[in-house]
Amino acid sequence: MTVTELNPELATISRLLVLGALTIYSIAFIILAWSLTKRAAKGDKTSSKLENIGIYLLVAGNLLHFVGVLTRGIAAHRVPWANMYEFSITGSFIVTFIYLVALRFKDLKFISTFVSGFVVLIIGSANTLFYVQVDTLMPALQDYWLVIHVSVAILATAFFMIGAALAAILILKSGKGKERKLLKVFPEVEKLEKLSYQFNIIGFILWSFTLIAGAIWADKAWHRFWGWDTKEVWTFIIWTIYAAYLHATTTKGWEGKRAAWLALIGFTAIIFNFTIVNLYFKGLHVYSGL
Amino acid sequence: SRLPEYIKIETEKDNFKKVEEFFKTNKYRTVITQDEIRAEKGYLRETGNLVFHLSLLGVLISVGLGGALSYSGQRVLVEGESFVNNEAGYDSLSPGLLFDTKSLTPFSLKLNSFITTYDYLNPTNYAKPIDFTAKVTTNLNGKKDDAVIKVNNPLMLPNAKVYLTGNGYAPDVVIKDKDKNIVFSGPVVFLPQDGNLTSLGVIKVPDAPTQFGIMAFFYPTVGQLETGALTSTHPYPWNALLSMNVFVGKLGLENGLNANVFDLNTHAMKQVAGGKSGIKAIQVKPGETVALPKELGTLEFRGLKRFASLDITYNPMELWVLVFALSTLFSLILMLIIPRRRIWVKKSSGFVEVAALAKSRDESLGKIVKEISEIVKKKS
Ligand code: HEM
Repeated sequence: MTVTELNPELATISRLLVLGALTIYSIAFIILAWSLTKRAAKGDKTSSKLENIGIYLLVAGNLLHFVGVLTRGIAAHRVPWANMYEFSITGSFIVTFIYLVALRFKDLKFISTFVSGFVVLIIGSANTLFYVQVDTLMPALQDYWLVIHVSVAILATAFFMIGAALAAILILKSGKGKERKLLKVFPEVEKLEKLSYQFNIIGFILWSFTLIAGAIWADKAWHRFWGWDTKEVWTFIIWTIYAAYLHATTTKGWEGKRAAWLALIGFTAIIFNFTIVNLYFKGLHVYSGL
Repeated sequence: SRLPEYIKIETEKDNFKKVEEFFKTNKYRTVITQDEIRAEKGYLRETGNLVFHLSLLGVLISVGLGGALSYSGQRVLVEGESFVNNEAGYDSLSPGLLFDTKSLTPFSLKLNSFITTYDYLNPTNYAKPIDFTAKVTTNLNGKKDDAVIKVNNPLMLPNAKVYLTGNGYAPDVVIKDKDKNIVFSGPVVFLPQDGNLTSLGVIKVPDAPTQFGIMAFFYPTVGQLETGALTSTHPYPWNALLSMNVFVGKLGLENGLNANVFDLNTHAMKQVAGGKSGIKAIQVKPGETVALPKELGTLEFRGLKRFASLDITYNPMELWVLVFALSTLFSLILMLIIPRRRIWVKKSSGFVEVAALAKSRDESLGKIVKEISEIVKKKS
């Protein structure tokens, strides 16, 4: 086994690039939030020039973010997702990227404030709470399943995040005070339902593969494919919540607001699984690097 | 949950041929009578439903059966030692309900060497272990093979997978009584307590003229904490030290007391070195020999070996669990995304009725009924 030489200077540059992206995203967030309130005041449904500027800033931030993630990988000589910091920066890059791609096909501008706000939150906490130096992989992580298992987990989380933003708006929109001006800028409940479903079902399929890939890897690395480890339990609970969500969307009386609540609970559980379970629960799946 | 859609069209025409065509191009199954067309779509949903439930049952059965037919056992091997795959060869073995331990594949496995690689190249990562490799020789029906076992690379043998689950140091010691008779000899497995492999081990000497036991700390690279306590500052044996507390008294091995090799029950014993005994803990480096207190004799720290903890398991149903898990997933998705709907087009004198029923929420049902009614109405 030869030791690969890490590049801490490049990792520092990567960190600065990601912080640069964070700055641009933050400006975009402020602009997008401002444009949303302005439109809400007028009850205007069409997108404004200000909003477009916000979106362009997201694109610029995403480009910088990409270089940041890439350089982190080059500095570490491997995929940039082997600890919580890397999972967060790659995950937030993917969320923004998927969102921007989806914008080309669907009218999703109305959640831009949510997406950018969330991404700012993720990068902010990654940089302050989860930051770790580039490191060589511990023996348990030296396997090609790292590439498959974690990249699929990142994609799943990204789709669920957008699905959750849509579900949250759906809940607001179908709640009391429907007539509030702010809510008028959002599309109809039926449309929100459909969009949210589309993101969540893709998330669900990817999540299922995360779980199965994890089990296959666990059979190699932990000498059993399933053992009710805390991470396994929570990943399974989340899977069940989303299965219930999908079931609800096709069940009369459960579609719409109730199903949306399930999607939101599911996403909260994902955040819980990534933060609290990783940092405070004991188990085999301790790859935060902290 | 049934959501009917219904449209009644006042017309003398019916355009049944066109409606039939519509069903055909959209892959519906149809039953056509004199004055009615019944069309159905989404059988795959029902199939999905059936397969889903069968697969779920499959997962449960293969997990259950796997549990009964599998076994898993542990064995700690010091470099140079061999393991024979039978019940006696294990430190602990938990066979499933239906697993006959006599059916264990007769192979043996010798740990030739255990190699660790630490990162000395990257300052930020200094001394982190980056590789553990157990070099072994297996002997299966007289056929010898060399192999390596790593953390993510278990050794596959017939009906047995050998995993590397842990490792540590085994100081090799020789103890002689005051008449220079050897009363203990061999490597002793010390359990690691931290990342720098500060390790804890127990040596029991039942064959000495006065029975005694040693509870010892091993530091691969010894250093001192601010409190003065010793600690290991590095996992590699650059400045190894063994620090021993000695206890004299009945070990009680014959009564099953002190059966655990990693634990010393000092209840009926008296401490003669270390702790509050008044004599300092006895320290020895590799290659050195020290005298033990109370004329117990001498201890030679002959050398240092590595040990590997191995898990040997086998579950014949593993692949089936995976197959059924995948088919559960695929069928669930089929079930969720494929709509199942039935459509009727019925003619009576003066009007045509189009009705549709979905088994679940079906967004496009109303649209389809409308579309068909347009076809019915169309003047050709
Ligand atoms: C059935 C077993 C497994 C399940 C259900 C599972 C589940 C997950 C989930 C849901 C994530 C997403 C982020 C998070 O919540 O932390 C994740 C990330 C990750 N998994 Fe697994 N996993 C399993 C097995 C494994 C194994 C065996 C390894 C390595 C030996 C591994 C290594 C990682 C790493 C490095 C990450 C990214 C960093 C992190 O989030 O902690 N996983 N896994």
